[in-house]
Amino acid sequence: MKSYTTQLKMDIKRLIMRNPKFVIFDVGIPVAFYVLFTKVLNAGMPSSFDKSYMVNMAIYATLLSSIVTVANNVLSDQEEKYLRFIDVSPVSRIVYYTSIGTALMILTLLEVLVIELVGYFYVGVSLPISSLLWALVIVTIASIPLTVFGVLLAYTGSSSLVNLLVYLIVFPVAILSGLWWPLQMLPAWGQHIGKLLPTYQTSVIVNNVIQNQSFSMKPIIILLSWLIVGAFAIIGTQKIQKMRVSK
Amino acid sequence: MATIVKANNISKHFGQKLVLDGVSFGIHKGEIVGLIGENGAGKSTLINIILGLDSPSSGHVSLFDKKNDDKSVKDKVGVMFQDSYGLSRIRGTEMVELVRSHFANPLPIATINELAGLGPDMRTMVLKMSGGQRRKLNFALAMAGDPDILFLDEPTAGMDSTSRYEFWNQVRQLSQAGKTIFVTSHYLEEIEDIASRIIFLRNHQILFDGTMANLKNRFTKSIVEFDTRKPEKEIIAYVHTGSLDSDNQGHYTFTTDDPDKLIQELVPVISEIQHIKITQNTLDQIFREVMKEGQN
Repeated sequence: MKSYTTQLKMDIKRLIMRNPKFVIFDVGIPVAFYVLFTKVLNAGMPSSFDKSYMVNMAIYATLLSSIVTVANNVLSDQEEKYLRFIDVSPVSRIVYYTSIGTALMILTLLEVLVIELVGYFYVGVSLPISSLLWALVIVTIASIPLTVFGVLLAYTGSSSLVNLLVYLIVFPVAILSGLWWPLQMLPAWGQHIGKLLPTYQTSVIVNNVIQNQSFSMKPIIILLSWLIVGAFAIIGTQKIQKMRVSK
Repeated sequence: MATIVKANNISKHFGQKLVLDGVSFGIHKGEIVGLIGENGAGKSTLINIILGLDSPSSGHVSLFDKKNDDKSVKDKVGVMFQDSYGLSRIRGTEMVELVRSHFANPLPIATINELAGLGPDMRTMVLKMSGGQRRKLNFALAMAGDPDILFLDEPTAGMDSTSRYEFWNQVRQLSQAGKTIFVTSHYLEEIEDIASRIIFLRNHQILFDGTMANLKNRFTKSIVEFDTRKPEKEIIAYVHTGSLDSDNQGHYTFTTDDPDKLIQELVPVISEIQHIKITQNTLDQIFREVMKEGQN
């Protein structure tokens, strides 16, 4: 337990407190988008747009931090041989991954909170506090499958390849899951793909909750499926990596 | 004497490529074992297999009579790898705190800081430290868990000569305190100075496993030099266990397998002999000779 709490303390320092560029990037871009489309380019938008776009930008922030921040940091830990130290130490990699996941959830909470505060106090979103809290909790928990894929991306190769893949994934996922503009604006094939993505399903859950609509298990099952696929892919990748060691 | 590491008939293939071929040895408590061999002889693969970072194609390794992935085993093992490890945006002092948290009975922080010998620079971010500072920090981190056995893979690479001298003094003190040490280095004079036992890998197998003295006996002849006014013919008549390499104006050089016996053969004329000197090849010379033999 002590190894976990110490690792978490270090991860909070290096991923959040001493990482201002990434944190500003992860929060700043979604906040800027949100303000731009709700306060400046808002002509003809329905009144519910302020709420749904706040949720979308909160999810977009978690997509950025879970993929970009995680992939870059796990890759750095790999390149700096920290993971090899873990492998010869009495503590397993599970402690390391759990700690990264927890630090990311804290970062996610902060990001979503900032976007909600901007929505509530600056844009003027009218939602009960309980709905905002629900959105905060759901978006944070639903970011776990994204974090798993962030870790997985770090194992794909060199830093140039990882960075290329990160941006090839983040922006299409944001567009296809309807975070930037409504899913209905995409062609039918795009909508089919978009509805399978974890980010879209998170928005479905949050919008159902804040609009007091009926509860459905389907989005949760899709999110869990992504989590399971990602976790197995990490296990498989690590086995392949171990086979290659010292080659 | 307790055997800490047991390697039994280890072989390793990467596809068609053979890297280790039937390697067996044991490491006993308190030994300082130096592993030598040319690049590609399989040293790193062997260390990775002992530490459980890689698995052998055949054969078996145990540490403290247990599997090498056992948590209780890892608690007693310290490793300083060839390339230093670290974490981005984390200070040296924080790295010590983090690594200590991995072990059941870590050394006190003050002892670890003393081993690193970095003074106030311990507060520098690890990735901003110089190469030499990171080596020192990694050595201290390898000791953080107060291990019974310490693996040092090219530990002095990147250190200046003063740091290297201090480093080996620390290793000697650890050995005197009962730690077992397994070390590889390209600086063979360092291995020669520190190791109580040498394991020499060549062509993926163990060519030699024993003390430095035995290695020298097995692979090199001694050189006996002296000055005398006696004529060459007379000197040669006395010496039966060596061959004359050179006679340079009364400075004779013989090579022999048994320098003690050669000196005894010179006893009848010893009063007319001055400046006797017996030398043996260094580990570095032996290494180059053995490698040359292998190529021929």
